[in-house]
Amino acid sequence: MNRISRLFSSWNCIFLSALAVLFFLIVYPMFSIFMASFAGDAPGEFTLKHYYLVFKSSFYLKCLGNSIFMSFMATLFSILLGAPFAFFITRFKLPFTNTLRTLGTLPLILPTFIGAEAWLLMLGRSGFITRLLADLGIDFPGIAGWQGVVMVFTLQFFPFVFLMVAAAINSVDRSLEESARNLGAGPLRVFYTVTLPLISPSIAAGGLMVFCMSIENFGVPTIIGGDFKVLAEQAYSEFMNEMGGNPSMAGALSSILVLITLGITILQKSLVERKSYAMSALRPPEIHKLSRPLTLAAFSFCALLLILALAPFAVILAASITESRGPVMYYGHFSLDNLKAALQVAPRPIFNSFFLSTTATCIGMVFGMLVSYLIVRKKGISAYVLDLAMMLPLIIAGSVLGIALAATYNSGPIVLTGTWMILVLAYFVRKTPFSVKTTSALLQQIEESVEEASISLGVPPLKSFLKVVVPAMLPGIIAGAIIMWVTILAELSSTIVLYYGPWTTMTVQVFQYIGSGDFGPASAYGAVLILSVLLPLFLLNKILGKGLSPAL
Amino acid sequence: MFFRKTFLALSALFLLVFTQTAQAADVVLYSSNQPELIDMVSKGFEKQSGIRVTAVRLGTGEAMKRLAAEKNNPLADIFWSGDVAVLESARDNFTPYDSPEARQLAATSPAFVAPDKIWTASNTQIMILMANTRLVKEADLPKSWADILDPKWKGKVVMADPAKSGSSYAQLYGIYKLYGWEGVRKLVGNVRILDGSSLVYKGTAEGEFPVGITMEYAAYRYVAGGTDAVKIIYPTDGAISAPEGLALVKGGKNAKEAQAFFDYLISRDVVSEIYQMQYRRPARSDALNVPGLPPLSELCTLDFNPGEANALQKELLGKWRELVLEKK
Repeated sequence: MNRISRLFSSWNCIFLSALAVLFFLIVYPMFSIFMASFAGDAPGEFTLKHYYLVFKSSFYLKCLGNSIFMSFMATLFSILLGAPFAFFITRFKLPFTNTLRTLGTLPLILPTFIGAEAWLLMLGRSGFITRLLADLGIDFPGIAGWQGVVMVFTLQFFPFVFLMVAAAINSVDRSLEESARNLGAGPLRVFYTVTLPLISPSIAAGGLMVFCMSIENFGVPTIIGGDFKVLAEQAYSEFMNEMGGNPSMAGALSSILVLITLGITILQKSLVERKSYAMSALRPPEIHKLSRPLTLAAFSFCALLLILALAPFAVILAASITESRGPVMYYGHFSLDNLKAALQVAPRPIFNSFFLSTTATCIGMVFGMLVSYLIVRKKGISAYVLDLAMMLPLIIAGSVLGIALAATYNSGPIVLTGTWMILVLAYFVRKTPFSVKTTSALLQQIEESVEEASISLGVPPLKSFLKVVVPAMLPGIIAGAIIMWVTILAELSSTIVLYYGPWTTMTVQVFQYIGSGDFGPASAYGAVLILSVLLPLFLLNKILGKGLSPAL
Repeated sequence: MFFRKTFLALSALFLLVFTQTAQAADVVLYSSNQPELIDMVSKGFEKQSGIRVTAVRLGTGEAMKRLAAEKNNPLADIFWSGDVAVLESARDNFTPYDSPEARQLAATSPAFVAPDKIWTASNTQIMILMANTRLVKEADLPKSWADILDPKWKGKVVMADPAKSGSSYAQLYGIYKLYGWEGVRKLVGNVRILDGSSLVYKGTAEGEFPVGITMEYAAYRYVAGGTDAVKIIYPTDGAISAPEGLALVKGGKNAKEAQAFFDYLISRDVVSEIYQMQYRRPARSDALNVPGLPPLSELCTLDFNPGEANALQKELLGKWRELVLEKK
C-alpha cells in the first residue's frame, strides 16, 4: 500500500485532531500555570525549589498521604458498592429496575459541596441525627474527619462504577456463561471465572474515575474534613487566593497531583491489559429470576444504598419548603417562599444548564467514541500517550482550567471569553474523559474479529467502524453520555470563572446562596435542579432500557 | 405546517437567547456579595438611571483571578466589594476614580479612600468573637482577644487562614497591633485554621465550633434570624475595624456607566439600606443606624490602616506560615 496515503488515512487525521483538542484546550492554556512551578525569584531562573519544599515539609507530605489514602478508600468502597448494585439490577429480575437505575445515576447531579453541607446538617457535631442520638444517650462525635470525606465521596461517586459496570455486564455474551454452566460450573464459579474477568476493565475504569474525582476534589475535605487536610485544597487555595497566593507553589502542587494520577492510570492500564479477555458479544445475557428471599436481599441492598446516597436530596427537598430567615432555618415550619422565588428566576438558568450540557455531551460523545477506538484498537505508543493524556482534564481543578482558558482565549486571534462557547468547550474537555473511559472499557471486551471480517469482505474501515463497531460499543457510549450530561449539569468550578451575562446555570444559583450560608434559598434552587433533571433521566433510562437489546 | 411553526418558534427563541449579551447601556458587575444585595442594587440603579446591571457572582479570590485573566480584554466594569487589603494587592487590575460621593469620606476618614483613589471603602467590617452557647456556657464566654490567647481556649477557637482570606488577614493584623509577635504566636498556638471565612461563621452557627473569629455582619445575620445559641462578643480590648471597598476595572468598556453605578453604590441611601438589610456598617458616618447593633461610637474599635497592613503583609504572613508549620 502507498505509504503517503496510509499516513493520511482517516484514522490518522482523527488521531491528530484529538491531539489538537488536548493541546489547545489543556496543554497550551495550562502551560504557564505549570511552568510557574519552576520559576525562581529572578526572572528567567529555572528551579526545582518548590518541589523540594513540598517534599521537605511534613505538612505537605501529610496532605499528600491523606490525599492518596482518602482517594484509595473512596475508590475501594465505590467498587464494593457500585459493582454489586450494577450486577443486581442488570442480571436479576428486580422490581422497579428503571427507577433504581435512574435513582442510582442521580447522586452525580449533586455538586459535591452541597452533598457535604447536607451531611453536615444531618451528622455534624450538632446535626439533627447527632442530636437525636444524643437524646437517646448515644455519644456520636460527628462525621467531621476522613471518615466523613470518604463516606461522601463513596456515596456521590459510586454511580461511576455502577454505570460503567452495568454497560459492560450487558455486553457479556450469553454463550460464554452458558458454556461454563454446561461444563458443570456452579453460578458462583461462573461469576468468578467468566463474568468477573470479562467486566474487570470496566470495574478498573470506574475505579480510576472515582480515584481521579476524589483526589481532585477540594470542596468536600474543606467542608467536612476538619483537620484532615489534602493536597487539592492546598493547591486550590494557593492559586485562588484573595491575598495573591503563591503561583509557584500552586503549580508545583498541581503537577504532583497530575503525576500521581498519571501513575494510577498507568497502573490501571497495565492491570487491564495484562489480562486481555475479548469475546464477540452479540447475544446479551438473560435476566435471571431469583428465589424470593434472594430477590428481597438483592433489592434491599440496592434500596438501602440508594436511601443513603439520596439522603442529602431528602434534606435539600425538605429545606426547600422550610421557612428561613436569612441563614437561619426553621425546620418544621412550612413555607413556599424560597421555592416560589427560585421558580421565578429558574427558567433561564435551567435552559442554560440543559442547553450547554446537551451541546457539550453531543460533541463529547462523538469525540469519545472515535478516541476510544483509537486507544483500544490502534495499539502502540501513540495510542498509549493519547490514553494517558485523556486523563489530564479530569485531574486539573475546574476553576484553574477555567482561569487558564479565560486568559488564553481572552484576546488574540480567537476571542471566546464572554460567550457561551467557552463554557461548552470547558465542559466538553473536562468531561470527555468519562466518555472515552466508558467506551474504551467496553470496547476492550469485544473481539476484533467481527470488524476484521467486515473489512476483509471489502467494506472500507471507517464504514466498518460505523456499521459494526459502533453498535457494539453503544452501551458504553450511552453510559458515557449519561455520565457526561449529568456531571456537566452539576459542574460549578469552571462555570463560576467563565460564565457571563445571561449564561448563569442552576449550580451557580445554588452556589450563590450556599456561599453566604443561606441554605433555604440554596436548597430551593437545588430542588428545582433535581426535579427538572429527574424526568429526562427517567425517560432516557426507560427508552434505552427497551431500545438497547434489539440494537445488540 | 406544524414543523414550520415549531421551527420558526425555535429560531425566534434561539435568536432571543443568543443575541442577549451585554449591550451598550449596561454595566457589568463582578461581585462577591449576597444575591439579595446584588438584586437590590441592580434593580434600584436601573430604576434610577435606566442603565441595566449585568451581574456575575463569584468569590473574591475567584474574582481577582478572573479579572487578571481577562486583563487584555476586560469583560467587567466594576468590582464590589472586598477587603481593601485584597483590592490593594490586586490594584493592577483597577483604575482610580475620584467619586463625588467619596469626597466627604476622604476628608474625614482618610483610611477609607486609597491615596491614589484606586479603591473606595463602601462599608467597614467589625471583627468580633462569635460563640455558640450550645458548646460553651454563657458564663465561660471569652470577653476579649486576650482571653482567647489563653491556653485554656486551645483548639476551641476557629479562624480562617489569613494567607487566604482578606478579612482574616485583618484579624491577624489587629491581634498583631494589640499584642505584637507574642500575641501572634499565642494565636497560632490556640486556633484551628479553616480554609475560608464562611466556614467560620457557618460552622459556629451550626454548632461545629464553640467560638469563631469572624465579621459582625455575618454573625448578626444569625442573631437577627432568631438563633438564640449565637452570641456576638465585642472584645473589650478593641473590635478590629476593617474597611471593604469597591473599585473600577481598568479598561472596562462602560466606564461612564460604571462611574454612575460606583456613585450609586456608596450613596447615603444605598449604604443605609444595605446596613438595614444585611448589617454591613457603612463607611460614611452620615448613614442611619440599625436598632439592635451598637453604634460605632459606643464600641472600642481599633483602626485598620490599609497602608500599614499592606506594608506588613509579607512579614506577617511569612511569620504566620512559619509558626503554623512549626505547630504541625
